[in-house]
Amino acid sequence: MVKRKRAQRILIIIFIILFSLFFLLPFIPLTVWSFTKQWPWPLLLPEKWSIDSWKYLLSASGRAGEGIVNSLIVAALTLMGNLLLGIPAARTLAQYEFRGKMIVFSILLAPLFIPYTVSIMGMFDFAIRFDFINDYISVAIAHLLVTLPYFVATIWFQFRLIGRKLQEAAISLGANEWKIFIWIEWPLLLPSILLGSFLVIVISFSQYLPTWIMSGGTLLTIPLIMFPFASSGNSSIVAAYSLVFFVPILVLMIMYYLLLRINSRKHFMDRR
Amino acid sequence: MKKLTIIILLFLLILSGCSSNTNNTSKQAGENSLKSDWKEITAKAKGSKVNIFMWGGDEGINRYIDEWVAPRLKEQYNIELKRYPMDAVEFINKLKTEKRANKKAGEMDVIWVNGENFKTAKNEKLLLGPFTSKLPNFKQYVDTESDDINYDFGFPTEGYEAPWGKVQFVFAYDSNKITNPPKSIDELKDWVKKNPGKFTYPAPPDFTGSAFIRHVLHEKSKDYNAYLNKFDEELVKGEADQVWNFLNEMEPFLWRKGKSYPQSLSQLEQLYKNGEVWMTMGYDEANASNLIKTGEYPASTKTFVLDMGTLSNTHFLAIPYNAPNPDGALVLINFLLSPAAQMKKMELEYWGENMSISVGRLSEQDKHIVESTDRGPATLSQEKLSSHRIPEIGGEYVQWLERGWMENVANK
Amino acid sequence: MRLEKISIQINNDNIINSLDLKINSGEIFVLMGPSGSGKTTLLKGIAGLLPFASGKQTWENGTGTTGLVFQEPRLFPHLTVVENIAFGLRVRGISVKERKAMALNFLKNLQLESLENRYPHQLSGGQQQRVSLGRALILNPDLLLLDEPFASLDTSLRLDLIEWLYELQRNLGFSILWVTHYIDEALSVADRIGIILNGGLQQIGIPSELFQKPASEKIAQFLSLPNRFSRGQWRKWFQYELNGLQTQDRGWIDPKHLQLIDEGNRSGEGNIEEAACIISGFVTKVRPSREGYSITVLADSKSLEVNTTGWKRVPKLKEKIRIRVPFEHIHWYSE
Repeated sequence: MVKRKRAQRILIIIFIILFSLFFLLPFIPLTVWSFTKQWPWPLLLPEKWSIDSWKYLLSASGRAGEGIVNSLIVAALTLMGNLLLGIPAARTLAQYEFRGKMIVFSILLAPLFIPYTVSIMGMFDFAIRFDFINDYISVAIAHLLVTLPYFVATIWFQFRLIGRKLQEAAISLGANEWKIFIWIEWPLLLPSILLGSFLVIVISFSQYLPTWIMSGGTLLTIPLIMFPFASSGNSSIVAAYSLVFFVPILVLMIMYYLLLRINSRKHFMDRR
Repeated sequence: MKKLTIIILLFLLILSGCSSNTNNTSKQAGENSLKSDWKEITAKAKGSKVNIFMWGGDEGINRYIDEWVAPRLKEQYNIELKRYPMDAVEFINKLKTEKRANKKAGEMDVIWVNGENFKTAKNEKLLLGPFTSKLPNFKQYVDTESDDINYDFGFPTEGYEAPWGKVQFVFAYDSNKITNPPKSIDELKDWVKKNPGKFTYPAPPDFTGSAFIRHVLHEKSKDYNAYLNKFDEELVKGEADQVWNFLNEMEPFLWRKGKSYPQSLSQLEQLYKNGEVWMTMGYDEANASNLIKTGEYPASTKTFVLDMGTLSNTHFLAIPYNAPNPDGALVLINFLLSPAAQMKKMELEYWGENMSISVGRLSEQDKHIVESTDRGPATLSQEKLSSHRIPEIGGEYVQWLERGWMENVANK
Repeated sequence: MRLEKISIQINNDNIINSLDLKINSGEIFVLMGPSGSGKTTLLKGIAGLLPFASGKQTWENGTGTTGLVFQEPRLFPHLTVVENIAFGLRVRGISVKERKAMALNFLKNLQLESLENRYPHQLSGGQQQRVSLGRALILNPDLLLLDEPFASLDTSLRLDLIEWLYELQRNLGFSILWVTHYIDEALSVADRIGIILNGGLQQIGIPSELFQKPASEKIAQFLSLPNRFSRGQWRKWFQYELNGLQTQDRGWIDPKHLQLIDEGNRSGEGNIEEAACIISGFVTKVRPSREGYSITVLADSKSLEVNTTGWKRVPKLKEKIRIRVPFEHIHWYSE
């Protein structure tokens, strides 16, 4: 038994190492590429190193700061939209029966299945018509369309698990809808809301076309700044931007795990 | 739910309110600026913001705009310059959509165009109008008589765009591997046959690959100048076979025996950097020097032009019909045509590209500076370049040849 | 609390149909009925979870409050025992300190002392259900609504909790509307019992009344009353005209009042009183019971249940047997 347990633990450790390698490996060539202009294939490491890409990134032309700030603002607005629209939508879909529910559900999840280009065409029209709307908002609306299905699907499942039973219990104790949401549903949903929000932010961060279309190419998020270099094959600059791109995501990931830990510790402090 | 909707709508309204919009009368403003004199224009441009939309894939060019032009424009004219990276095809499409939607106030003040894009823009009335005559620097320094200013890939510019720079097609090679570079297209073929696998060109319709096959046409054609006139399919049909034959004869000796071609110039450059091929090419005479400087090309890289000459073209700056700040746009373009800006652009530090203004019209002092400007170790002398220039042909021929290459060389 | 002509609809189906019910203060009213009869719907209606389609609800003192306890505990998984119990107080805007003190104080009643900081998943089923009861009771409801509250617990725990709740009710004096399908549970706590069938109350009465005089064959069937036969059948067996109301055309008799008569022992046969008859039949099933045996006898193609006391003699299967039926123990009721 003891032997078996030890073997199991070693297996788990190996698995964790492999798993983290899987995540970390892409960062190694990215980092190397960001410090060299040239890295021919059979060479293990480049012959010449340079910090030009980083210098450019941090120069007035690089706009890394502007890109990150814009990306963050759009992601935050997108997330707000998701929270405001996605939570009630997921709740209704998970807990109430009404005519045409399947239709609403399919429309909501449609962006997951419909080819991207179709919704992009719609966005073009929208962009021109609602030109008066601030770029941040219109881009966030486009991102909202792209991310909402993911968010709703994540939250919907949790609402399904919670069901109507606790709501009924709370109503019988005199709670109104708002108190039920704040005191019962929100805390129980928190892990999936965190996961959903993380997804939303990461997806919003990596949008190129919707950002481009809705802002007319003027809202410079990281992907928009990066794209010209990607299309002209400048691996070094692209690598440097990609690393910058990962910084907020990494911070978010750490925040996500910390929040999750705090949340679960609060609930299961003295679990035996 | 209702309450929520109202809150969201309110929120949207407030935020959209925050984005105070550019005036809806910029079309008129544009026409007005074309009527005003230069003094009025500069006065009105003071304190404004100008957006330039241009291809953003080169660090040097970006830095030239952001680090050199922008601060000086601010200092001298109190104009704030903002650069937006965007491919020409994309901003032309954007303009088309805006025109269809009858959008009076756009976002772009200055766009960087040439060739097909300019032709589309001018034909579809996406441009403000003839403006070069307004610019003091254009009148003073540009050779207004020359064909490469008045024609853009065979299409008359008529003042709708101002020349920003000139580039010339050159071949680059590694002088450690090649001592005597070919002097003509035929010599190139002989060299390729002797050194199988060491040469290739990007597959048209890649811009560079397309230019390469035009060089073949140039040397095979009886009268290349005929191509500068109106499109005549019979003409090109009669001579194209020689081009295809030439390319097909060369094909088995190309990189990977011609079974595949690089899809873009950057792929070809990558092959050259890796030493897989010994020769590369490009529509930029200073590119090789640039890449030697950054360490991407071996220092032994040199460039050459063909004895019969290589293609050169001019690229331009234009103002869209719905530019929000046409006065600022005019001031910016005028500034970019100033000797100081043009000479700075020539420096390898930023761009290393040839001037669009004429050296002959510069002051003695500036002439001196131009002559002593170090355009890099691999860049040919001004004399050598300018004596080996051939003009570009019309866009219809270019497209016809690109299609023909697909049919007769790639898929034969 | 009084309900008058209450109807409740779910998806346009009438689940409760024009129902009248009055629950006196301090009373335990047990509501019984087969599944699908509308018990839970009625409780949810009274608790305000479902709207009344028509009818009205009134209270003796003008207004009143209810507390609802479900079959499953439905505790809030992210809240501790105290927080769960104090939830209703929190809704009413009572300060943290105050509500916590009240909840802690209430733990004694619930026999949950020292478990205040546990989370629901750290409690046993019985403890969870007690928290659930406490959560409702701490609000001092005028009427406690119980929806088969102990149905998912095992028998002995169920009996303990019934006893405990009964004591608590007698001490605190609230009224209860208690839904159950256990007859023993009903009998051990009910002041009155109501039978609900097809969305309407069919009979209300004190427990003994219910068994002695079921209002209909349907109720008798729901109560699983044994040995139910028509007056005609009884007449056949007794072989003379039976007195009593002719409208009460059915009668049932408890198996323990039926006596087996041995073939060998004919002692009883001689003195059959006026009001008794003998039925002959075959034993078709024998099962042991708490007191002796429970025997099924087939007579005139009808099955009769007979209970014997003591384990002296086990009737054999297919044995021919005679049963003595005392007339006075037959309970008559209407069809």
